[in-house]
Amino acid sequence: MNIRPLLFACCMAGGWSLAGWQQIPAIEQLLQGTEPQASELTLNLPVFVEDGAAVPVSIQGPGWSGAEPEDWLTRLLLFADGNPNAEVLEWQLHQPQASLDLHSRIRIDQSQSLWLLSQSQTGEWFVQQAAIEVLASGCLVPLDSLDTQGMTNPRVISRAIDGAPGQYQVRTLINHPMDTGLRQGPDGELVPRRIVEQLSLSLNGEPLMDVRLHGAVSANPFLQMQITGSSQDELALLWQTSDGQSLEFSQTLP
Amino acid sequence: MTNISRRGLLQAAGSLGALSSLPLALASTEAKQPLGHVVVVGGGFGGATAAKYLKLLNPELAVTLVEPNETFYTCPFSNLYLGGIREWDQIAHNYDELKNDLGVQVIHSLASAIDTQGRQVTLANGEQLSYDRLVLSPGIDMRYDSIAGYDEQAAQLAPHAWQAGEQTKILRQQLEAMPDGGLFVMVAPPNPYRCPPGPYERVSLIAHYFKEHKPNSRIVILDAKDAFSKQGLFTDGWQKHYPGMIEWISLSNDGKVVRVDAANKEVETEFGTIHKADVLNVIPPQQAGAIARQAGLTNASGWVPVKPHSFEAELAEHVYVVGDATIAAPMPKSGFCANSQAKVAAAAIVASFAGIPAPSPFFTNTCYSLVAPDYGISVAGIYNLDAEGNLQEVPGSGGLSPREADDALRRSEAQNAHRWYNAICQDVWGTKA
Ligand SMILES: Cc1cc2nc3c(=O)[nH]c(=O)nc-3n(C[C@H](O)[C@H](O)[C@H](O)COP(=O)(O)OP(=O)(O)OC[C@H]3O[C@@H](n4cnc5c(N)ncnc54)[C@H](O)[C@@H]3O)c2cc1C
Repeated sequence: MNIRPLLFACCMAGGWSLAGWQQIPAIEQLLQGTEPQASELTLNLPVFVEDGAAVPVSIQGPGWSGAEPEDWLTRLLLFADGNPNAEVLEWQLHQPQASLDLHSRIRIDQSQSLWLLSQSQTGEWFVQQAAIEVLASGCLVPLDSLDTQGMTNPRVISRAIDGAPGQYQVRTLINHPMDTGLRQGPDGELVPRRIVEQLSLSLNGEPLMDVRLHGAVSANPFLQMQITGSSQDELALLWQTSDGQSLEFSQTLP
Repeated sequence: MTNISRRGLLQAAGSLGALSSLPLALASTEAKQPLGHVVVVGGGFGGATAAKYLKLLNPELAVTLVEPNETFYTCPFSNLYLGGIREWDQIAHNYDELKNDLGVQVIHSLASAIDTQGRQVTLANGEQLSYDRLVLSPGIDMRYDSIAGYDEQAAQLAPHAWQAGEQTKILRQQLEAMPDGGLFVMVAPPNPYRCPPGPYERVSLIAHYFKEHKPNSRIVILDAKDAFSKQGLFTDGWQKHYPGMIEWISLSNDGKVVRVDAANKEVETEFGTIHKADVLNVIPPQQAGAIARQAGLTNASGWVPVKPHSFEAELAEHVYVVGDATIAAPMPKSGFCANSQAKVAAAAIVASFAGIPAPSPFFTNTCYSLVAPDYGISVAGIYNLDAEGNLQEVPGSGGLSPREADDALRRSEAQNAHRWYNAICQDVWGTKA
């Protein structure tokens, strides 16, 4: 069954919303009493995973919440209600995007729900939910990332999307342990929290998108997004860590 | 061929543990009218075990096994064939014991459709079978849509060899034809997939073959994961036996392959790196065998959810699914687990005909891997149900070979791997390899 038209219809009628997010303080705080509507975006997760260390998650759908020019989505936030800290990722869009296609890999340490909150420029909130089952415990830190101190090997690939003129897919990965501060090192001491906190994208010097990362993003953070651009545009990326390091990378769109 | 005596039968049932609470009277009443008809689809590790143990536990049941092949080639030890240390017919098994000694009706055809409402199985040969209970153990299918360019035709050129048979032979022929100094590239799948240590055992034994016959050759593993089963033990073994020959590229180091050009033996990773191989082995993501999907037994994951107590399908009544097709984590998708689950399902079916609750199950698994002919490593686990009825590894039951060990221990584990193979094949098909 395709429930998207149904969700959309309900959302238009304004009388329907998902329940359950009310139990998550971080979301309550964000909404400040506003009632979110059902979102038209899809939140894709595997039904179950055997290893919660790098769970693929993606968000797809229109970059607008309604028909008016100011209905474009400016903020998306992802929460995991069973993780030690609910915050997972936040995207801030500085320019309207026709369609959204956002991907990452995240840490999920037990069966739970993920919540996607999105906000349009007019300030309206939308909510979407997806459940995931974790059948064997995860949060393995890959062996080869244990010793790395900072960010290394930024990888970026951008390509024009077939059949969608002016649309590009940008895929990024950077090697970094994303230490949450909750993990014991070989000496039994807690390894201090040290994460990549932000990836900022700009196009021809204009801010395009900021992605805020929390400890629930997998080691070696992977982020992929769809952007509007043209051939020869200059795409610049800037990664920043919680301990003050930064790394820049730029690329011309093909 | 084994002749199964009544005493052997009771011992077999007794040794199951899970079955010891079944009344023995079940197995000793004289047969007249069949008590019911059980159809088993798939004659691999799960299906052949289920057919056998249904008959052992209650000979009054009529049991029909549907399996297209007259000879079954095992994936376990197919890596030894690839490594040149075992012959093809040493991994071949047949259905003589089921047919001749146990009175199972074996039909060599493919189940093409299952109607779980009408309890009917349609076979490719046109036959229709009605059942009271159905057991499905169809194994896996490749997800041919998941890597661009990798489909059934491509698999003829860049074999997966993840179902033993023609595929395995193609890979061996390609390895034999490869010149010394060539590059073997393996594309390793994301979880969940059949036999978690299997890709790494395969690489080990192909390295052994190269060391003996083509010592200048190299191996690259492009992995869709950041960690793998028995990783420390494998890498220690590679260091010792094949230093410098094997390179493992993890997900986070651009190991995920997104496109395959089988004709040119080329693959492209998610960040655009091209690897050109002389021999290319693509093990794609997997899902439950097609018939389980056709029958409506799978959920959105492509695998079959089951009730852990009996391995009855969650999405249909009177249908039991075992083996790789199921969602049974933390149990791995192994032949040993399929065998263990099939015994639990057989016991539950026999109990259901007797109108009594299924016995409380437990399951065992050991996965041996050979890093070299005389160098074995293993991981073992025992599984039961936790307080909520979910599958769990019995706390403290499992075990991994030690990281630090002398040659004698590795050698004895390699011998145990052979003993394990002989024992399980004897148990499943009644055949000696
Ligand atoms: C390289 C490799 C090494 C391995 N090593 C080990 C090991 O050392 N130890 C271990 O325990 N496990 C090992 N495994 C895993 C093991 O092979 C599987 O877990 C096991 O085969 C699963 O059993 P199954 O019954 O689910 O599927 P299978 O054994 O694959 O049997 C499925 C059967 O169903 C039949 N079938 C499918 N569809 C139909 C249909 N529609 N109608 C009729 N019949 C059908 C097929 O022909 C097949 O015979 C290994 C796997 C690989 C690939």
